[in-house]
Amino acid sequence: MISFIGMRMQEVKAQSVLNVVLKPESEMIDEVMVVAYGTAKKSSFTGSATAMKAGEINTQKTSLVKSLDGKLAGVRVGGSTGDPGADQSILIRGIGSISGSTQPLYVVDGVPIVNDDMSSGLKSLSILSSINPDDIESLTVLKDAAAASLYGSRAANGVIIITTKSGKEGKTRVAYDMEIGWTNIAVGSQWNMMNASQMKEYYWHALKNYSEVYGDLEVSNGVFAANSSEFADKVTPGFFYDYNGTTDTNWKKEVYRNGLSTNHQVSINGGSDKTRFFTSFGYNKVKGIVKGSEFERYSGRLNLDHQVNKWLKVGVKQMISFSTTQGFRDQNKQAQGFGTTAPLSIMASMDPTAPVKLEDGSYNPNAGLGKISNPNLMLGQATGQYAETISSDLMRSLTNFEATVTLPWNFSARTILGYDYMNNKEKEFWAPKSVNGESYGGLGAHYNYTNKVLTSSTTLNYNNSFGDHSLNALVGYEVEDRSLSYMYASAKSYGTDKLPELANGQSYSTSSSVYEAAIMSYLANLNYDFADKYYVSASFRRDGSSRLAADNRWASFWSVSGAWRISGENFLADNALFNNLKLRVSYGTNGNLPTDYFGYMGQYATTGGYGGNPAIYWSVPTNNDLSWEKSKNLNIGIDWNLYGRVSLTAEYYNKKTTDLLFRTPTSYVAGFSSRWQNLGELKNSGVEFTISSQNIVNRDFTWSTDFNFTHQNIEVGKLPDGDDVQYGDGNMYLLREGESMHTFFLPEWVGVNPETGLGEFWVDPSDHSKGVTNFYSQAGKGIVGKAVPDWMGGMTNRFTYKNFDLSFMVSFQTGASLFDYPGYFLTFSDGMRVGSFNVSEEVAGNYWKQPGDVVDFPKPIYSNPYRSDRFSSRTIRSTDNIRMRDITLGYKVPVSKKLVNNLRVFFKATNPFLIYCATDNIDPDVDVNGYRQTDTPPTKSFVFGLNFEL
Amino acid sequence: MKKIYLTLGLMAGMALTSCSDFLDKTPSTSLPVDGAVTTVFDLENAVNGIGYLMSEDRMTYSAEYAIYADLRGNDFAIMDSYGQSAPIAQYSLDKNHSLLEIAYEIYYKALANVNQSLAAIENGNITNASGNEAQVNDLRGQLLAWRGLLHFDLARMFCAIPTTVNDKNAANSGLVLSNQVLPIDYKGSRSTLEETYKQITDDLTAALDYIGKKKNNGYLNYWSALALRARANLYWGKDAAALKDAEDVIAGATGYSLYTKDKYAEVWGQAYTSESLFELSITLNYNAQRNSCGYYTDAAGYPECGFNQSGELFTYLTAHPEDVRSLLIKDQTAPSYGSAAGYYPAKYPGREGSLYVNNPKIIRLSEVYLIAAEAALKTGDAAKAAGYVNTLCQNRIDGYADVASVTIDDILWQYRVELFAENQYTFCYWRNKKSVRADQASGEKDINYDDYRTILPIPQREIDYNSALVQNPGY
Repeated sequence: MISFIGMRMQEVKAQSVLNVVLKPESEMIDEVMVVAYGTAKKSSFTGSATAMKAGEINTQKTSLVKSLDGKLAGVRVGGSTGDPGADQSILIRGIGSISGSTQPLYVVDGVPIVNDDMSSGLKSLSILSSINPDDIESLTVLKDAAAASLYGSRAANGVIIITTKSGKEGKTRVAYDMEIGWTNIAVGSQWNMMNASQMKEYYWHALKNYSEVYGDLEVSNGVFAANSSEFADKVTPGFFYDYNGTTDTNWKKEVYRNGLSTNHQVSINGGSDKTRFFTSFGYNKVKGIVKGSEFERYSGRLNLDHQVNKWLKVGVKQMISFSTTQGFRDQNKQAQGFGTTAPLSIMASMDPTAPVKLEDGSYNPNAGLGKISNPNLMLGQATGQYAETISSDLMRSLTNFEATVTLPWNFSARTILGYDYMNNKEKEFWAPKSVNGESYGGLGAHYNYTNKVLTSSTTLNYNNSFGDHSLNALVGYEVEDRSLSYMYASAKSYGTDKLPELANGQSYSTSSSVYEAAIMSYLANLNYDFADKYYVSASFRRDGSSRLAADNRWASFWSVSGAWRISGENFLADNALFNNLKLRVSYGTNGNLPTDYFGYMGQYATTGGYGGNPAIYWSVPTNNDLSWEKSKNLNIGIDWNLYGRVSLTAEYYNKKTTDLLFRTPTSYVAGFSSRWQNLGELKNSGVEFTISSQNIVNRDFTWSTDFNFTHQNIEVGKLPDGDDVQYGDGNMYLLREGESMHTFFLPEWVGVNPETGLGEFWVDPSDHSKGVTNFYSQAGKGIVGKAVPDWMGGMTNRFTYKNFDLSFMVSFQTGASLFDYPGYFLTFSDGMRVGSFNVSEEVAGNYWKQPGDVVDFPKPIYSNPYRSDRFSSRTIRSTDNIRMRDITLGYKVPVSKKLVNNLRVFFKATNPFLIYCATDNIDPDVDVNGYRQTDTPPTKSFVFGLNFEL
Repeated sequence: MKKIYLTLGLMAGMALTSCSDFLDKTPSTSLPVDGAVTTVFDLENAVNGIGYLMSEDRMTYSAEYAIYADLRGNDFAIMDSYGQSAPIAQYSLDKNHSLLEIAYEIYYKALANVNQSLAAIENGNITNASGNEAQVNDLRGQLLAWRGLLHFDLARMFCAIPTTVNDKNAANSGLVLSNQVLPIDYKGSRSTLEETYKQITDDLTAALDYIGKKKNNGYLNYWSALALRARANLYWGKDAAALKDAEDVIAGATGYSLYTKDKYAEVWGQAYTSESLFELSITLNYNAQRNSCGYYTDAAGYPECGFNQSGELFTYLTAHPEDVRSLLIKDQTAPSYGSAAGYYPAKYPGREGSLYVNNPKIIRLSEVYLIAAEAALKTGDAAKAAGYVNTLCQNRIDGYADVASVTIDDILWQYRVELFAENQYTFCYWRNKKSVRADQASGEKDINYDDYRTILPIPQREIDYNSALVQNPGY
């Protein structure tokens, strides 16, 4: 018997030359899906799982996560920075945790893999990008308890199961795929700053207003101006490079550029009836839109399957990849922080009255405000006077050995041994005279992370059919042992800015540590169906984890589910409208573990020092009761196929997470700022629709549509003592029972008073009778938005006409807002940033100058005492949008099948434009917490490609 | 039958692969809290831990808090603002500002560590305590003295000075006290000012029973604890007690002496000099980096604490070269310093080639002389007061002629000149119900002792957590 995942099984008689044509799955209703610890026929599957369409998994070559955007109901992909190789988060059916991990478990070829704690966090780094999307055969997202609870303690946030390509029997096929193209800022209208005359005018007003508010007329030591206007006249020029000149530099062009992306993949597969192989070599390189940011990956894979004899089958899968990322520090966690040498900060710190180059043709080294020099001298410089760079060099080897033994009485046993080895070397260098390096006389730092995970799972399977009954059962045992070692070394006081290696500086600091974690599990699963009409499944898993105290570390997870194929009943037989109609119900539990390795254990850190002596200090409060986060999931789904043309899936889910892993604030008086607790409750519920339709199927022309949309609700159920919890930068987020997760809780902006020119906030947003205040510190807080969308989804249309193919995908979301953190510095600064930043162009001509002005921005005041610039509803902005995600136009070149199996050329645009966006001049793709970050914005790309197969 | 064995064998194999200690993992850079402090060596390291915690963060003794009181007056000015310590000078620290959160967090964190170690001693956890009584006692005394000092500085930041209030027993006028190991979910309420200062002086008094008298570089000893009690008593209005403590230090502290005129200029670049009763040991590895006092008082750093050239202090120093304290003006007026060019206090020149490395002198002998003078004056002995001022000035001013009596303003002026950039100026003026001028302040520039801005607000996040906590007036 020959079977491949995603291919219909066909029995063939042994003959000297095997010539098997496997029919692609899409022609059949009964798909085979990769599920937990095996595969399942879609028709008999009682849980909720969605598989990505073949060919869509690798639309984004750098990271497989990006390809999921908008394609699957209930799956939300967070925005990432526009720098290549940056990480991004993904949410499956909402948010399952407040302080614990919200990310799904990834399982590659049957082995759960880890992707965390592998970098310094100074620069966002996607560990998953070490896996080449071109090597992936299928990707299934497990969403409900029935599908996922076999992964127990780590399945609460869903599971993404990845199966890599394997060899296909028959003639050896050689394929070559390539792409080349360019990238740029997706929303180009953002980050436009004031030009020279606008900025000069704004600064002048800010200083005049300062003089009035502070009563300060002292221009310099002992020299006084007659009035505030004269004060501004005298002081303002000092902020500029050439106040009286005509230079008007657009610095955005000096910071952001066109990026370049390239991808090449060669793969060979083939095999005989006993041995099959797949091997590939991939190369991906992306030059970011900021000078000096770059990602490059070499990856190789060999997958080998061999039938040793009648009862033993073995397989080996080996992947090795090397990825290097270069660039600069960023806000890895997509939250507070704005580094002075971040590209956006450099851009906003530039003085438009300063020329890019001096008369002698060299770059102007004093073109910025403060200590910022010139982006051309700072960005992309690995060495040299102003160099500040960070790079990482990640090597990953994933080894997977699998053996299946066919046993008597319909038993079989399967064992999988996985070894995941990763090494990441990060290097940072600050040249002796660079902005950050100056105080150290140069600083070099090396971080070295080595991760080893050994996973072993053994399952015993039973599979039998008798009459209308069919039974499938599994028991298994799994262990995972992780060891992560870390080493750090740094040097300062460099003798040169040309050689960044540590030997060129004076030894500064060294450190090393090891983290270990282990999981041990027992699992069982039972599937039964009767007459292909009634299906029942149950699963059970018991997990023990090293991350919890010994008395508390074991927990059990289970699920039960059933399905009824109504179309199998006589009353619907031969009714084409109900070609297939199935009702599914599942209920079960999942868990989530703490992200801290020893969060339960009260600890004294032994890493301190005082003078030349060792120092120890109380670093973690004791919490032996810390336990699993538990979620209970209900899923009800209907699969309906109409006339074999349209298939529709509608699902309702309700997931209640209790005993949340909750990083709750404590009083500083107790010695800590927060602690882990199992507290509170989150309620995720939603409705998901997926529609696939073959609208037109002709010989020459086809049109198909995939449409998915999700309505979701992420509600805080219960909180400790019912008390509100405020958290985040400036306590900007609120957790309140009955409110959504990621609710923004900030003072409410009323507007600019036309008479005074000052900004006004409600004293109490819930009681406007208390009036307004100009002082931010006197403004009360209210709920001003949330980062979680109500509706989201995507639609893909595909057309083929003769040799041409065209597809485009549109995504949308409504109901979410973002927190405009860069806007806080650049748009809503109200004079606070005079001397350090320029101001957004949209403020020009729209700020208060004299009584009667009806404007959006108050009068700027240098050193603004009102602090109206601080976080408020002004910085909360809607992200409702409809976005063209990608457009692909392809052409199959007609060549002789004798010579070439397939030759296709295509053009693909990713993120080309926004069809609608509620807020101007922003990119609505932000991370799931709604934080618009100060890093490189999301990009759009345009690529040409070629698929070629011999 | 073979098949049965194979099946059974596989089952057995699966079961046997489990072993119970597989899930026991331990951290590699920390120890479980029970058992972390069980020997004298551990206790020593835990005392070092207090020093460690107070070395690196913002608002610690070698960071903004080294110059905190100076930033709030007119003797120093922001030369070029990086917005780091500037909000202190501008009186714009509102209840949400991160700087006061950091201060509140780190001082209480250090206190929690003190209490944890004291509990280890009191509960008899130190297994080799017997035979090492002297050492254990000394460490116990250091911990108690730390507790007094940390509460005192929290009180200076977040509570009014007792001498300035009408009612020291007013509810919620003091600190939330941290005088024992507190539960992690502790929601404390504020004590009265009287209770707070009683706690401070009680701890310092208890410390004296245990702590060693030997000079102990980088650590508290008997004399520094006594000097700190003198200071606390003065703030508390217990002038007689302050005078006695100060005089005991002056008379009894062998091995300490006032800086002499010839040495005055050079002691600032050195560690553990003759006047230094207690200074923190700051090193290249452990310092406050860019928020260190050395970085704020240098044109190449965050130049936010330079001399105000029209201020009274600068005017005096430049006009009196015979006063050795005038040598502590660092001339960084070269045009290469750009907008940061100016004159800076030379008290934090850095060691080991780094501006970050300066040992903050938390209390030194000159201050004890001034405490004695102030306390003597307030207890009615102006001649004695003049005597202490004369002794100090003889060691500072060439051709100094003794005076027969001094006024409180004379003493306060000596605080300004002797202890500038050492976190004294505005505290001592307010302590004596006087006003200071702060031209950089937003709003009213004359900051009277009863201005609500003289003390910081309790961080709003503490009140968010514990709504029963009472905010300081005015915020």
